[in-house]
Parts: sequence; structure tokens; C-alpha cells
Amino acid sequence: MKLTATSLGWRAGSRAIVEDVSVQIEPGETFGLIGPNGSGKSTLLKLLAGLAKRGKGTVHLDDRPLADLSRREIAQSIAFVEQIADTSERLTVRDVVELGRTPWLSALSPFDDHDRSIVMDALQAVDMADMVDQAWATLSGGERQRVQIARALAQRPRLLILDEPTNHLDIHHQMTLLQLVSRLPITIVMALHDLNQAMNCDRVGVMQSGRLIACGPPAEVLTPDRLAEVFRIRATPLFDPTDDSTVLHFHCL
Amino acid sequence: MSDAALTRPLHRGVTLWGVPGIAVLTLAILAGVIIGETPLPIPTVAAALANNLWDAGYVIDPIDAGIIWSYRLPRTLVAAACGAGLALSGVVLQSLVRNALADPYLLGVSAGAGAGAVTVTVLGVGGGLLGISTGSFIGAALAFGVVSLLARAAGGGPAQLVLAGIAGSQLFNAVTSFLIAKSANAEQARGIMFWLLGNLSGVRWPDVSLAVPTAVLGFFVCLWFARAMDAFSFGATSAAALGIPVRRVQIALIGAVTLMTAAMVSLVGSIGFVGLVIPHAMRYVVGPRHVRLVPATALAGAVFLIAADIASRVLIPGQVVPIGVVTALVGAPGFALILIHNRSRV
Repeated sequence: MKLTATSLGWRAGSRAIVEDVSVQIEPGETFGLIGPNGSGKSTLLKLLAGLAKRGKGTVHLDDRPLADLSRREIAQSIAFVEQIADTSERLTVRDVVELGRTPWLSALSPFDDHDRSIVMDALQAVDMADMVDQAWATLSGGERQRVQIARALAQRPRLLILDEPTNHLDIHHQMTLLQLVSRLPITIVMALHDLNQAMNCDRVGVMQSGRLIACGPPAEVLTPDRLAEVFRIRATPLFDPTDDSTVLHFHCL
Repeated sequence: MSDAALTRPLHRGVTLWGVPGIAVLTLAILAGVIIGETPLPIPTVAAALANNLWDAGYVIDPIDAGIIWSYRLPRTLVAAACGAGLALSGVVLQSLVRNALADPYLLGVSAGAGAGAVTVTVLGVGGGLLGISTGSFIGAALAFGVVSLLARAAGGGPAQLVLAGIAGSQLFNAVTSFLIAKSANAEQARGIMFWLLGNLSGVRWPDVSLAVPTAVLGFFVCLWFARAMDAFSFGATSAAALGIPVRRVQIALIGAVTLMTAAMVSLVGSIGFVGLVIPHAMRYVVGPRHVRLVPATALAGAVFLIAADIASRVLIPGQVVPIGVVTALVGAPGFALILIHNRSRV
């Protein structure tokens, strides 16, 4: 599914959080969004998902403007995983993942065996199938994040938007989660903090002060000069012969 | 999808829970009619009901017949409708504002409804059952608006909402007291004070025709949006991401809550704790999913208020304790249990 955003903007009072961002997400690609804290990544993701109120600019899903679609139609195409999601309800893992079926259900098409198997598939995909009856309140941060992703997968979206999905995860779960996400046959847009994780995306976009200042394949975009300018760090690319990959090593400027 | 697959789960759910639910409700209503200061034997009650429902023509004491048909039955039906309506209001508010303490009483909606009803009664604008209910509705809607705006202006946290609710309740209760002091005569004032504490004594059939349809309508609105209320578990943004038209659902549900609270307060005064304690108790019994929580809460609220009404009639012989006092006597300890239990969980 193609997502085309044209001159997106969002202001908090007089301050521009996101300003004049245009970007096109190609079908099937994994698009990483990086930038320092407060550069507008989260807000841009919300704008792309049509979740930010009073946003400027337009978003097209394939060739239809998002504004012409109902919330339900959008949710059948786009799933969104927030950075922090919590509830005081005494929900189980199964309850949370079943929420992902919401856009597909109505009074005339209630939850059935088909939905049940989609929910189990989603739980298996994030390796949480043996914890279905656990209470949400008892889960660790990493487990919660995986359950939220399972909930998003249960939506059967064509585009999955994730806001810093590897936050609060230990290194093993960070890597398995990114592996899982990159294997999905759907379009992915995610904000990332770890620049080395961004290296594995098909393309990355760099946000600075609300603007998208660069966009392209990681090797072209994540140059030492640009990282010095945006993140105020000195990055040295190192070659790892075990898997022929390039990793960045950082020093403070 | 086949037709069988479409209807089976719904059908099964209705027979599994609906039939026993209606049976329990019917038994509670019968108990409400039978038990009272003068206990009436079941055959007399059955005969009186049969006479009125399908002209059975049994010969019974006309005084008994009058007590049963004109006094206890409407009173019990209104108690059931109020209990269901107030408890459902609690479920909806707790889900929408994601606050375990949300309830029409604590958020000032009941106080606003009371102030609206008293304005109409004392100032004599409109008048009549419909006029009072309309005043009550406007007061409730106004109170809800004031409290939500204040909570948002104060930062929008859960504590701010409760504090704004307290401020709103105090404001609208003060309006009520001011109106009584300024415009009501002594007899009116005593009547209003008694009514504000929650009182079912004056309930007659016209009240039933307002309370029962309102509760039934509110119940179906809540049931229709049960899945949407589930989606609010992780907040409004998350609900929107799940395809819920947030604004439209909020307006429909808040409208239903305001309508139910206003109708119930205008009929029986302000009854606290039903909207707070019953939904939480039912969460322990049937879990947090609204498809089960909404019917369970409506039923439990109805049965609870019928029981409270019976207690209010028999607790002190020869005297009626205001039903709001009875619900508070039971509800306050129940509320304390909720507070303690929530603490141990987090």
C-alpha cells in the first residue's frame, strides 16, 4: 500500500511541531524515522495515521485522501502502535489482542472463529501465545510492547506504524522484534532511536526541528556529516566481517 | 460467513444470560411488591397482577389491590429502572474518562440534574413531569460541560477530574440551596429536601412511563457501543486507531448518560454510589469486557435498587428511610473496598 503525505504540518499554540513534511512511503518497504527528542517524529507518525487533530496538509492512502475515509476504513488499512499504552482495566493478553479485531466487527459480524484464529496467529508472531490468559497489569514493559504489536497485527493492516517500538525492551527482544517486523509482508513506518537499527531499514527519514531534512537509503542518509549536524555526535562506520554489515560507532562532539 | 455462524454466538449468549437475567429481575420485582410494611401473600399479589394485566376478575380486597397495583408495583419498576440507569451511567463514564472514580454523582451530573429540576419546580417555569425532566436534563448537561471544561483547564488528569467533579457538585448543590432559600415556601422546601435525599414514595404510573423507556433506551445504546467502550481501554487515541469514531461515540454515550441521570434524578432525587459500586462489583464477576459488563451492570443495578427500596421501607417500622441513605450505607463501605482492592493490585 502506498502512502503519500503532502506538506503536513501541526502546531501546538504558536510553536510548529511538524512543518511542511512531504514524503511518499512505497508498498512493502520498511521506513525508519529518526531524529533527536522533540524533533516531531511522534507527531508526524500520528499525522500519517490520521490521528492528529487539526493537522495541516493531506495524506493519500493509495489514491484516496485519508480525510474521505471513515475511521473504521482507515483502521482496516493502518495499525498504529503508540509509544506508551497503558490501561487500568483488568484485561488479559487475549482481551488486548482481540481489540485489534475491532475495525472488522459489527453487530452483524460478531467475533467468531476466524477472528479467534487471527488473534492466535498474531500472538504466535510475537511469541506470546503461551501467555494469553495473563493479566495486562502483570506484564513487563517488553511483554506489553509485544502484546500491543500483536494487537496491531490482529488488525491485519497493510501499513503498520510504530512509535519507537524497541523502547523499554532488552537487547534480545529488540532484535527479535525488529526481525519480526522486517519479515512482515506489509509496509512499515517506524520511529527509531537506535541509529544502527535504522541502518537495517529500506529507507530512513531524518527529522530535525519539525522538518524532514533528508530521506533515502540508510547508507546515503546516515553520513558522518549529517549525524554530526543533527545529533551532535561523531559517527565512525565500522565493518563487521561476521555478517558483512556496517555498524556505526559514536563519540560525543 | 454462513447465517448459522452469524446468529449462533449471539443467540447462545441471549439464552445463556438473558433468560436467567430476566428471571432474576422478575423475582426481584415480585419481592419488591410482596415485601413491605404490610406483607402481602403471594396469591393476593398474583391475583392483583392478573386482574390488572388481563382482567382475570379474581375477588380481592380493593385496598390490597390498590397497594399492589398503584403503589408498590410502579415504585418497584421505577427503582429497577433507576438502578439500571445509574449503574450504566457509571460504566459509561468510567470507560470514557478512564477513571475508576467516574460516576454521575461524583462528577456533579446528579447535582446539576437536581439543580435543573429544582429550578423548574420552584420558579414554576414549564412544570409538570416533562418540564421537570427537561430542566433536569439541561442541568445535567450543563454540569457535565462545566466539570469537563474545568478538568481540562486544570490539566486533564484523573485527579483533576475528580476535583472538578467536587467543585461542580458543590456549585450546583449551592444553586439548589439558594433557590430553595430564595423562592420556596416551607412546605416546598421540606418536600424538595426529602426528594434530594432520594425518595421513591411519590412514584406513580406516569413516572414508570418515563423511567422504564429511558432505562431501556440507555441500555441498548450502551450495548450497541459495548465494543467501542472496550476500545477506549487504552485511551481515545488508541480507540481512534482501532477505527472508533471517537467524537461521535462520546456524544452518543454522554447523551445517553445525561438522559438517564436526568430522568432518574428528576423522578427520585439524587441517589449516590449505585454508579460507582455496582460496575466495579460486576467487573469482578464478569470481567472488564463491556459486552458482558453492560447487561450484568444493568441487572445488578436494578436488583440492588429494588433491594435498597425494600430496605428503606422495612428498616424502621412506620417510617420510610430515604433510599439515598440506604444506598450510601451499603455503598460507602463497598466503595472503601474498591479503593483498598485497587491499591493492592497496582
